[in-house]
Amino acid sequence: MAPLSAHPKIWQVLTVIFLAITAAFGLFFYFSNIFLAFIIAFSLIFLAEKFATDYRRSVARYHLSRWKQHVYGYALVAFWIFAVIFLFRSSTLQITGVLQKVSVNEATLVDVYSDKVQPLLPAFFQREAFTEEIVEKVSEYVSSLTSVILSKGTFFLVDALLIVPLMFFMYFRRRHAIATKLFGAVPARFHDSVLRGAREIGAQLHHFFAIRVIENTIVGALCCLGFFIAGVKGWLILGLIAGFLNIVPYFGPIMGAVPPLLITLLVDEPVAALYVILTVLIAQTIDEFYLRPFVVSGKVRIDPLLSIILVLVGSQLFGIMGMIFALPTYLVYKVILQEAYEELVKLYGQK
Amino acid sequence: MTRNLAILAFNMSADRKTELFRMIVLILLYALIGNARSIQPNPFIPGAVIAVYMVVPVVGGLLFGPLTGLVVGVFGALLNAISPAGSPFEFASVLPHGIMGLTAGFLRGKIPTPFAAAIALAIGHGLNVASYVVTDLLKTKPLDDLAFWYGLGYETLVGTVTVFVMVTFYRLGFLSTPHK
Repeated sequence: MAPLSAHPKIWQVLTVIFLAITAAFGLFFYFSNIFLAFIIAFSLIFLAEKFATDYRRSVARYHLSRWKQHVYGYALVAFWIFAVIFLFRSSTLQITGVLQKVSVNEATLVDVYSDKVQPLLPAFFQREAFTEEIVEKVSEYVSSLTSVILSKGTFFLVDALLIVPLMFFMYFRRRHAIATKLFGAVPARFHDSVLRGAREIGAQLHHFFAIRVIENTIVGALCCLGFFIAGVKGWLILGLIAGFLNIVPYFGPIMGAVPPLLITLLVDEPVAALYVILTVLIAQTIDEFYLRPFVVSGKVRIDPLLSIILVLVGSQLFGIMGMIFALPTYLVYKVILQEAYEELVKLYGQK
Repeated sequence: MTRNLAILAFNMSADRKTELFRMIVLILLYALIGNARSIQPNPFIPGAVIAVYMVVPVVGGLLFGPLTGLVVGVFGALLNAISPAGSPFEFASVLPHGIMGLTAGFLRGKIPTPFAAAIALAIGHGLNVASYVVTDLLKTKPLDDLAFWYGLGYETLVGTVTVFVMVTFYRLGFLSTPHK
């Protein structure tokens, strides 16, 4: 590694760039609801692109004529829409069926905990204070989850309904035109470095989100399968929720295991609850010991210790959102500052 | 014998080991789904449930070829038959499910996945019925009822949808989309 430049101008400009990126990320975290819709749109675009690639390969493999390609394409879209609606509807009906039978309040949770969970625990965990604490925490979690879904859900849905179709249109129809326009505003002498930086950031973020989508899909699929085998009512939605919550480092798996555990305990199926715990443990073991070290680390080159520190700092600063976006934020900072530094050294020289 | 098997496994090429590993995973998956506590009732045949595990040999055949389909069908059905959920019906399904997996493997890449899955599952269900009749597990009387055949058709449809979803997601996970 070459020694760093001591030219004051370079460090002044880098400080300005650093502050500008920080301000941009500050806005991002301030308007997190809107940006979350953007992130979901990006994930859906990624999936749509994968589906499109698979469709193009199928079309090429079977040598379909033009009208057959159209019929096959529309049939596939219709199939996926109907499959998603049908599966979600049946899964939701199963869950609402369970919730209608029992009312979820603190008294129900105390009964469920003291009847079905406490006898299985070691003596230390059977203290009364501990029981109250656990029930209070679970009750808080359920009520906060319900209020968050009710208060933010509608707002988020409106955001998503506005932003997702717009993003799809922009990405699939106008991305080259927008990129050319933005690139035209950059001074000619910085064209190369801006292009290199934009490509690098694009590639790094694409790799990061792609690999997280794949990782969470695998964890979600494992949970769906496990919950199905366990006989959990609404296994599809609960498995998908567990996969989705896996994006939250460290706490996500626990948050994802709570709803299926509650459902199984409420319908009086302690064996199914044990299967649920086993499923989540197996899914997390595969994620921690195979997916992350061999699949994620191969694509996103971040030192494991650094990634833990970044996630902890992110959680301290911005809570759950900070934990989720700690690594992509670091990647953006790294690439921009690295490119800017190299360009500034070329401009002002080493001192 | 254990020693010979260990030597055989050790001397296998990496490809063979991967193939064997996939087969074992799919066979276990077959038996696990066969023992699942979730029940999907068949709306056309009262009291009957959909045999979701039948999709596993078809998925094996469509993704990894006829040999995997055959082995998963035969050994998966055998393992399922000796598992707690096993019954004489499962023993009678060994050969039909093997042939079903083999068919899926032969149709792989020749016709689009949903059609290949539907054909393989229809053959599997047909052979299942024939096998139950031959082994005297099923009387020929219910076969006269149209609801029985509607039920089998429904089961084939659900199986086809499941196979298509599983195959698509597997391919998506292992397809690299070039970054532009």
